Amino acid sequence: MNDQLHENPYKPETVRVKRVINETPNIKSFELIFENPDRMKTFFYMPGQVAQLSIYGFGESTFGFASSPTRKDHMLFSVMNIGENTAAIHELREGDRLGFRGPLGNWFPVKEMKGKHIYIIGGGIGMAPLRSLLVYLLDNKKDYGSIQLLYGCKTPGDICYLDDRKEWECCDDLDVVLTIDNEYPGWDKRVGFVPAVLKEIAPNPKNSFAVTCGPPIMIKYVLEELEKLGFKPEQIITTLEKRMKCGIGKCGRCGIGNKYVCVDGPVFSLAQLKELPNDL
Amino acid sequence: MGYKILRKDNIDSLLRELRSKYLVYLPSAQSGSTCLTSNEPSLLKATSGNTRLSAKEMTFPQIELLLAYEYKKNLEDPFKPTSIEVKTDLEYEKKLIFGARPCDVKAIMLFDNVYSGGEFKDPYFNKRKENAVFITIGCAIPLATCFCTSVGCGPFDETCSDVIMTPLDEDNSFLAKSLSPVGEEILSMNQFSTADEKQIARSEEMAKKAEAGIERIDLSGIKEKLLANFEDPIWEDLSSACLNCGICTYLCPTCHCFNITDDRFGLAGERIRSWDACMFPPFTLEASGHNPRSTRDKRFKNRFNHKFSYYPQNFNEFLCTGCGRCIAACPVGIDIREVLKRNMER
Amino acid sequence: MQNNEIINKAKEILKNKIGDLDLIVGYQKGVNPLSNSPLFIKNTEDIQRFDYGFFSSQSLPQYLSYYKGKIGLVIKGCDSRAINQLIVEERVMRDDLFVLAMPCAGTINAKKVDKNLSGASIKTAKVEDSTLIVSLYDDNIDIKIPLGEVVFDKCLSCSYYEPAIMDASVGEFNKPPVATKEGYFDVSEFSSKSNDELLDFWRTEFSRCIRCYACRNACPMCYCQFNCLANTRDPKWLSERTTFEENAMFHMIRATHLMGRCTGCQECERVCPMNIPISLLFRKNNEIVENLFGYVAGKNADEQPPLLTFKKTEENIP
Repeated sequence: MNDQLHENPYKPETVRVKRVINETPNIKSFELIFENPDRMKTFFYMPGQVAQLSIYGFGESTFGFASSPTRKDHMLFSVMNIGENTAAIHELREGDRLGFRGPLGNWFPVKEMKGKHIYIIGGGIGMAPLRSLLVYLLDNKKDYGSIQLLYGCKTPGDICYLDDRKEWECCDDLDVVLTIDNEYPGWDKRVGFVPAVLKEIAPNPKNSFAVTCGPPIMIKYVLEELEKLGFKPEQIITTLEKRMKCGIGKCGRCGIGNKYVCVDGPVFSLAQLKELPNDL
Repeated sequence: MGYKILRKDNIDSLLRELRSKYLVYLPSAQSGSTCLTSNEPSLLKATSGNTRLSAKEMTFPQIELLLAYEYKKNLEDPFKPTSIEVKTDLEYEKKLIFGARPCDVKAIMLFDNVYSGGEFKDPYFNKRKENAVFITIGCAIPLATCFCTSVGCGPFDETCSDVIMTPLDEDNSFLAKSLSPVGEEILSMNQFSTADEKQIARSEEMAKKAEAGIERIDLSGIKEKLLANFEDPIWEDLSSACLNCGICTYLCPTCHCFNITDDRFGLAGERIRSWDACMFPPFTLEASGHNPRSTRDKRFKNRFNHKFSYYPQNFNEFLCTGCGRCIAACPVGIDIREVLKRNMER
Repeated sequence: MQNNEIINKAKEILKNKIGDLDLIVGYQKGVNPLSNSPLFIKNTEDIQRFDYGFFSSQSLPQYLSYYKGKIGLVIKGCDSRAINQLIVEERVMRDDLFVLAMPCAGTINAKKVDKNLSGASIKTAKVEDSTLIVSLYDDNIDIKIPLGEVVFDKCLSCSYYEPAIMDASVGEFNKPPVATKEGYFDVSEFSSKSNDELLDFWRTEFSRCIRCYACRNACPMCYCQFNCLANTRDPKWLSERTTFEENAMFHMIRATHLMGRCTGCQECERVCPMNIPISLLFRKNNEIVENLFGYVAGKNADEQPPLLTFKKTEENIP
């Protein structure tokens, strides 16, 4: 399947930027394709997995796939400009080339989720890997129960995936709840932090999974709220950000207890997290 | 696998012949600091102690070139985007390491569990390992800082060595035992002569005596004990002197964490892997600015937890061979055995 | 005063003071036969382990950057200057300190012993009649080395044996018998080499550096934990490569950052696992600063460092 990655897992493949989307003032999404168009057809990954994108000369950073493997025309990654590597990535234009190592890590338990109701709770840039899951579920909607998306951002200008939202808001099988942190002129939808809105919505834990990703502080309160609502730790799924370097479980940086986030994660259930030492 | 004798006065001739096939590394002292180098003079005659820098460098050098890249401009059409050429080079010289200790060499097996385990194999480490031969000299006189027998190693441990040698001072020679086909080949060289039963018996006696002379600490249940002590304030106490430098990590034969960085020189550059230490404050610093191990005691605790709890949970071995380098070289006298004993007592 | 008397007197003073302080940092016998380890005293029981003597080589003011509150420190003359410099740089308040000054006749530089014995491992060590007596593992004989050959260079030209800051003291402060040299003798001897010889020397030494940063972390004046030049990526001053060029850059930049601030404790040299005589660079810079500005860092706590002040005309600069 991914022969290069198994032959020399440190050597990136070259990919090209197909399109750049300016999502927000500090987030850009990049549609990436392989140089060899046949590779795009056979390349396979699962929602929740990550890849290392290299700007040679600057470094590599880890990004979750924002695209779903059910749609094979390109891979999508959303990048927030907060450091040296991401600033270099933000300089990329259509046609530019960069390095790619992936897919790495584990994925959302989509098999176990079959037949269940799925609540997706995302905050800010955390929505990126959740988008991959959402599109995957929608493309396989006969296998799953109802899907609800709760997506919160600081301000309306920070909301990503505007094109997708049109598709999602029209979709019968998907209930979309958007929220922003504070009142904003022209905003007529919900206002409130994601954990507070979650409490209001009060999703039903029966026969369901809750999947969340966002800033660490949001994740902390969302996990607490989900437990209060009656979700069992096995039903609560999250994906962790940790300083990853090699992405293949060798360099030791992303270790928590006896697990490596890049190999045993980044997707973990709350039940699995509770067994790990408090090293987050 | 047979036994042979190598007389100390045949060592020079042996080394000359070995040098025609391998790049030979020997323990040597520079300004009193010892390590394995391919230059003379050597400390092979010394019967006790290990080199300050371990043999880890042989299969896991401090700086490893992962790849070289070059952005190539399209000279025909400057409006076309640049292409990138990426090259890797995994050709390594054959090395022979003569005079490392069993605690150095067993570490290769511990590295292997991580570097050759899991879905992805590390080709750099594996290629270097394939091209390395180890003639290990066992320890007749252990140091007060040695504790190999407490962590599943020993002064004459054979793991990963091609030949293990026991010093026989009365005969001014070494008793050599081959442990692999390469070892067998080396022992067939004419600098080696046959060993007699008495010499073999003496070497076994010496091994037993050396092992008995090393103080044993009881580490049964340390895996679970360390997890139970995760929030214990004892770590503030144990780490109070620590300077958070990289000495213990860099000198340790089993510590294997690394960093990956790019060096750019205009349009071309290199990606290198370099040793890194969980003791350094920015090791776990995340892009958001959050640092899970922002204080000394947390970083300190992590190193011991990794070696004596997390790694053993995965591989049933301690990530430590008891070489005692960290004890001897720590500038503030932190003793890993004390840290473990205090945790066992909690 | 005999060493035992000195230790007992010190213990008495510390016992009386521990109630007023959050922490006292002193010395205790360590696992290393040539060097004491630091002792962190929080109660009178801890004081039992206190030890002091020729092996109390570590300079303890470096711990002032790690602890807040009322701290007691056991110091020798050379360490006292580091405390003064930290007060000048406003890293620590005088009122938060209790300084117990100890008499010192020189401390053993384990790296010099290593060099003398070509890296052989040492089993036991003691000092008797101005001689260091060590036993090795290999042979069963004692090796005697005159004290003057194994103490730090700072001891050989010691002129700060009377501490520059103290709240209490034990014994008398006399010039150590080993202090037979003057001023920057080690720097002068070294500087007499040709430029080529100097470059060759540092090329050999710095090629051994493994960038463990022990020298930086041990230095009482290097307290930039997260933003050290070695860690910044933008601008990226240093590559992680351990070539002579990169290593030399690190040490030279650090030496420049310490210009006019280094108090000559030689901790950098004491801790280096590769036995690099790194403090030569810093001592050279100290000589330059003393010649240009007549300034020695840490002599007293209210002098203004010359590189932090501006004067329209300088005496020694035309």
